[in-house]
Amino acid sequence: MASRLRDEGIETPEETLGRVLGVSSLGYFHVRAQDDWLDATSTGDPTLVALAEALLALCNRLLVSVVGRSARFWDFYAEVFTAYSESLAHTTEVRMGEMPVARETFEHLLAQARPLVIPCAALLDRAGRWQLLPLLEEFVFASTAASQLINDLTDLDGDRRLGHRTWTLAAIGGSDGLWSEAIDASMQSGEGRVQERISQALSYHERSAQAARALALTAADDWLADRRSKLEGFLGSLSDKLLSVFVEELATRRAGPPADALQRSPGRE
Amino acid sequence: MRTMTSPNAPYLPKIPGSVVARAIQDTDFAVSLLQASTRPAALSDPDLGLTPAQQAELHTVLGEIAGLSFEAAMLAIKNEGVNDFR
Repeated sequence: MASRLRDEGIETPEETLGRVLGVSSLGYFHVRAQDDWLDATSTGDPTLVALAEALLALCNRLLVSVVGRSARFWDFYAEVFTAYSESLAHTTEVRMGEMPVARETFEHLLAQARPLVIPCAALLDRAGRWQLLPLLEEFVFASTAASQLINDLTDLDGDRRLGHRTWTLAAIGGSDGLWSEAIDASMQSGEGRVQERISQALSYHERSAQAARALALTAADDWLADRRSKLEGFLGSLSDKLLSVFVEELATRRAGPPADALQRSPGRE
Repeated sequence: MRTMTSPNAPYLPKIPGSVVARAIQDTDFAVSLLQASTRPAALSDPDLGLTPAQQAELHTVLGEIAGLSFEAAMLAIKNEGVNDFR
């Protein structure tokens, strides 16, 4: 964002940039501490709550040094963290409830990612470019939606075991036969439940790319291209890995000879 | 490369060496073992020397291993950060 503002002739002093980067880092640690505290394996550890609070206080101190008393910024900040807190509470309700998890719920829960906007919002406020905020929010929302879909896909079995209900789990239903679909889709048809999830992720990715273009965030071009390439290659990576793991697992369960062929490496030839 | 074999994995019988060797040498054969629809035909190849009873048992066992492999492959992608979506 600083690069994008520089293109407009708006310089951000290095000291300010350092503080904004500090907000990004400390804010991330704040969210991680909260997330670990909410995680089923560590609930009840008060140290994490204290750590999260301390990190947030440090973030706020840095933010004040960047935006001062800007009413529009702090109003926005309050809105973001209110939505963030509501989303945390809603996550617990979703996990414990029985209501089907649909796209709308998935997107509502993504409010947990809204604090990611805060550092760049501070730069926009300082630069007098507040009108770019909706595009920035769209960029962050769509990027995190694409990430979350892939995370939910790779966490499919773990989420099912832990009873963590997700949109992906609801859409896919279970992993029975999913490996066949993955192999099929990567080799020929391009259809199936895994491919449908990847298509959804690509759709969010395209939204994020559109927002980046509208923002003239040219610094994000390489990142966006790399991400698209990885999303498009996900099925191929998955099927290669699946075949490799499958063959290796067969080898570990081998009952007897011939052993000579087992010296060869498994995988595609 | 890690495998998903663990103390918590379900008990599964051993796989005949002829099947393992062929799966290692022949990717198409390995793919046909992964997929339930093509597995019976692959297992019935006379070169493997499997009885109908062995084929039937292996069909079920390989389905179990395919499911576990899928889970392990997903985890490997996540843990290796191949797609960097964390």
